[in-house]
Amino acid sequence: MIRLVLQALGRGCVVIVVALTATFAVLHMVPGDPARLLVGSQADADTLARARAHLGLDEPLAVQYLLMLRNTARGDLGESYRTRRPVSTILAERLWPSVELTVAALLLQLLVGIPLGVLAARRRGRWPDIAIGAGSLLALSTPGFVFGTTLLYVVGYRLGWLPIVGYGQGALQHLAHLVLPALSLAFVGVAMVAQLVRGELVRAMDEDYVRSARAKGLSESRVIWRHALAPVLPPVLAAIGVEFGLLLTGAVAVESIFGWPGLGREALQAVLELDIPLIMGIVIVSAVAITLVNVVVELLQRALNPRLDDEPDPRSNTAP
Amino acid sequence: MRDAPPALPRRQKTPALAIGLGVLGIMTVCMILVPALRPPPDAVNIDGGLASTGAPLPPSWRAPLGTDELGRDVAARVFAGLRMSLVISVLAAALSLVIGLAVGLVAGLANRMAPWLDRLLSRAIDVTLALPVMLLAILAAAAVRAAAVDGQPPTRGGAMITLALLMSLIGWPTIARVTRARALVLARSEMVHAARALGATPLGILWRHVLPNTLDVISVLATVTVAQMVMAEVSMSFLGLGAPAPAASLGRMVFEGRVHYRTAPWLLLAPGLTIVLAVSTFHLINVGLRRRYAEAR
Amino acid sequence: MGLVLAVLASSHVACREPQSQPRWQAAGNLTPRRGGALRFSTADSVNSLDPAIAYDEISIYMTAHLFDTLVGYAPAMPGGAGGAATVLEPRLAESWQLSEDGKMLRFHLRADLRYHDGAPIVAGDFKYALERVLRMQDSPFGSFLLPVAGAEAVRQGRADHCAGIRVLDDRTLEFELTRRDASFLYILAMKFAAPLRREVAERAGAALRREPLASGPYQLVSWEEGQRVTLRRSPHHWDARRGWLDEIVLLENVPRDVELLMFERGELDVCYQPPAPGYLWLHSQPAWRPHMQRTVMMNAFGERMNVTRPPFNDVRVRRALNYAVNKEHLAVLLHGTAEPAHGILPPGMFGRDDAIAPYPHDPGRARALLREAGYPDGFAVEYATLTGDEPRKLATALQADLAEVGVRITIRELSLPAYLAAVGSRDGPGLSFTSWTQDYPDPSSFVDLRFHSRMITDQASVNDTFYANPVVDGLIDEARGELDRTRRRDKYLSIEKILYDDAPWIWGYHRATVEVLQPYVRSYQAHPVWVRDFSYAWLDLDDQGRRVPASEVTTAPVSERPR
Repeated sequence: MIRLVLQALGRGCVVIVVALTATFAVLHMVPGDPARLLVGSQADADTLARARAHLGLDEPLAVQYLLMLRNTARGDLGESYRTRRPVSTILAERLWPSVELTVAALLLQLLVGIPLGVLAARRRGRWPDIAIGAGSLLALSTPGFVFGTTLLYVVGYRLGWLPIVGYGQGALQHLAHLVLPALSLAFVGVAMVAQLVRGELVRAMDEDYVRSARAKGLSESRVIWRHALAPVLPPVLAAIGVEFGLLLTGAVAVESIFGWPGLGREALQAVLELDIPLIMGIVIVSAVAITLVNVVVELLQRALNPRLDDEPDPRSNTAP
Repeated sequence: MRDAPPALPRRQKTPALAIGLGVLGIMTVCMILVPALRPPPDAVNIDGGLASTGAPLPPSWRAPLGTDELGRDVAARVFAGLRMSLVISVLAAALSLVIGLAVGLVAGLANRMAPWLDRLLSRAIDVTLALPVMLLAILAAAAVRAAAVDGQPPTRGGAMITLALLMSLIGWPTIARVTRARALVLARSEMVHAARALGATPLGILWRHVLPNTLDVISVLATVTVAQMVMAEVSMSFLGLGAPAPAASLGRMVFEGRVHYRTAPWLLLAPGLTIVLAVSTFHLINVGLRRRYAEAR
Repeated sequence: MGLVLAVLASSHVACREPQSQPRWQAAGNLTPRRGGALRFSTADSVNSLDPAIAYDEISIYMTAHLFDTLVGYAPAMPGGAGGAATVLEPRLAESWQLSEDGKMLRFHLRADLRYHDGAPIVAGDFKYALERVLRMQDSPFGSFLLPVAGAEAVRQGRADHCAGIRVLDDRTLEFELTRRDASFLYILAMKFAAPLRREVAERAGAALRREPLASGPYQLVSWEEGQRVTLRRSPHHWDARRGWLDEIVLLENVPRDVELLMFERGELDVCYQPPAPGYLWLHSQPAWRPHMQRTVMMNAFGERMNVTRPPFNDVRVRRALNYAVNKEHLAVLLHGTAEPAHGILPPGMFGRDDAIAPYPHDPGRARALLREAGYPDGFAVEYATLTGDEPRKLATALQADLAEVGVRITIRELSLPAYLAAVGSRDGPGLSFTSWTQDYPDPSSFVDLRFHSRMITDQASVNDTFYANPVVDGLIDEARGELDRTRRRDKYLSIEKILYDDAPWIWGYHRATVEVLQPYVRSYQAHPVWVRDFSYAWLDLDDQGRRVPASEVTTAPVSERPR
């Protein structure tokens, strides 16, 4: 177990270094001078040169790269070019809203997606299955920001049920602000989870242990919730884990539409303004989060299914 | 020596495949016919295609899907955009498949013959999956976009291929994982053992025995990847990195239409519903294929 | 899901959105009164509240309220011409004198000036603030102070104190300039020239960006970064004309289309320049139309050409492109918020030659000029512009106009840093979108920077047309040292004429902003320099300081209320 965790962490370090190097390389391929954004388009050559020196952009690239690695290893992420705030402060500020939004969205996916998947599997081939299948198909085919904008306009503006944008002040306000972005973010995921659960469950219901449970005279819902669902959970967990990693910094569209102060929106802005230290910081957070989540998911899967051998189950990967 | 190809099922349980292929056929016909019947999709028409306030015109007999904010015909643009989106997406999906298949198959086969190679490739897949792909794609796209701005006009084809290449970065690792899993199973099969015993080269085994037996997985993956790539093109457009203007692509049109939901909803609805239709068609075909192979097994 | 799209479709087709109207009315007070909180929003966020750093438009929304300078601009009043607000008037200085030779400038401060913390504002604080700007490596403003004697030495680290800024006593401050400079007074009106107490700055260090020492009518209450900034009236401010509102709240990162929705719901008091669809929506709402106001701002838009690169090194080609662009189409596409331009100086700007008419749309003439220049079949060229809805729309329209005369452009949409790097480079695109907004309302903030050959460098060139004309250079230098306004104006009029003929830009348009206000917002107009300055604004609320719901006002018809 400990060996597993250590291995995963080691892999995580590799991921971080690769991610940092790739980002650094790509960033310096983007033509553009971050110093120019600091001093404005009227600034003369001298002012520009001073700002470049201030940012350390006058050093050779190799030196900049090594400095970046050294400082990162020491835990010093530097200052954002745009706001001159320490990157670690910005990340700390943005991380919590992102975690909140992601967790809310993933919970919604599980709470809505699993029952839908179970329903579809139980009524296989009949209208609830067909309706859920068609619904998920449409959900998977609708761009997230279109759904988000629609929610915002219909529920937020026309019906006026919920606040439109922002983070909200006070716990209750804050929860109200969370609803629409979380719904928009969970939208596609609900369909994914429902499909996944349905597929796995249909397969599991033909397995021997389910048959024997049925033979014992247990009610169908008991069979499903107690027995058939157990092997379905690991792939669902794996999918959710992957999604957590992606959404934490990747919920760019939803965070932008709803003015949610998370990492995704910050990332987009940082890229658009070539705020190099901030981009690096977000890449690190993202890589660390993905690594940690992978470890946790793997441990959970083992706990749920002790028979799992080292070779990953090929089936668990076939889900789109 | 080959495993039997998946037999055709005697009875289709779901019409998914038939419906999907049918809709795809209808869309293809529309993509050819509609642009021929309508004004050119890029024709700016400020004098005739806009209200005096500069507002786009709603659907009418003259423009069945209305006009956009430059007075262009939305119907013509939607179908030209569908064509453009499908070309980019199919290209991106093809690239993802080529990379993903190559890596996955080689890794899967190498598992027995050269374990270090498998380990290396698997780590590469893992690391790529753990990278903040979205962030890197934004970055890479920004870099590619701005590269070599020197006053010489670039070709539209070049821009499209670069976009497809970037999008394939998102698609290949999953494909590689799935094909590796399949190749692992195949590598242990009697067929491959026999071939090896008969002195077949690894490449020969790959080409003659493994690839044909992954065709079902490939076709399933291909359809779902095309669907994913259409959506990826929409996301890229949201980040300002879609197909270059003034080309019509569905992703771009939906993105540009998103702010018009109150005054000119057709700018959002026409391309939006077309995307939903196109993507669900590919998903339908995917479902149909999966069921068919599942029954055949 | 697609169903949702269908719902959206039916919500439009079946039940068209009802007309929108103000939910609150003005209470009907005729004179300004204190009280209330004014809420507005931006799609971006504030970078810094340190006036030596704050240079982006959004940060300036806040610094405009937080800091006062020696001299300031007259208020932009509703209905008043934009140009009126570009006149300088005394602020923290009650008077000033210029010496005979125009090189010594002496300011007398008002009595009893205080920061928001109650400490007195003294002449030495101005000197400290300006020297700090000169020393800071990353301040964009150091170069503005170079006309001051000894400024360069401080900037290069050769001196601790600037010899040309002298504190005669707590209320007297003197500047010595190396040469006469007609625009120097404007520079002292920029917010980086606000006073700053040394111990506050040194104690705060980098945190000064969050802990501004307010010398203006408002002080900072709180700033939840990326979400909201809240200002409160400063208790020690001297100017009775400003600071009516109890609080000013800026909501950050509110998307522009959402801003309008929030405004209609009454969650914002002002909506600034709604994007095109929002503007069209408002325009279709009779109840809101009287509350929309338009201000011509101090900016210029168009296409800049690299005049050293073929085919743009031929003036006939540049003129041909100017004739090829249809400015009436621009007006339609920008929904009437664009004034056609004949040069870089906007309407209302000192030194603008209002007699020059913009290039007319004349494709025939354009083709003839291109033929003359040796391009009978036109040419193909790359066109760089910024990423965004509006630049893309305008680029596509430009493409259509130019195609009509045989010039085929390929559009390249770039992010801001990439765009700036590309257009500032001698080897960059020959043709690109360009825009300019002044730092201070004087022609020197336009022409000197964009068209003087001194501002040319191979990379990151501020003069990005690479236009070098000794006659224009000479006129610019003379105008800068010319203190007689009539003679100075004549020089700029000559420059206008030459630039019009030489056409280093495709002269495009000047952009007006459109704002819509809740009916109870009074005495507010976008400011040509600070853009959003609520210093003079007040809210027409009832005696308890509450907004009056629209239905309750029955007595005073809308038209009789003063606006």
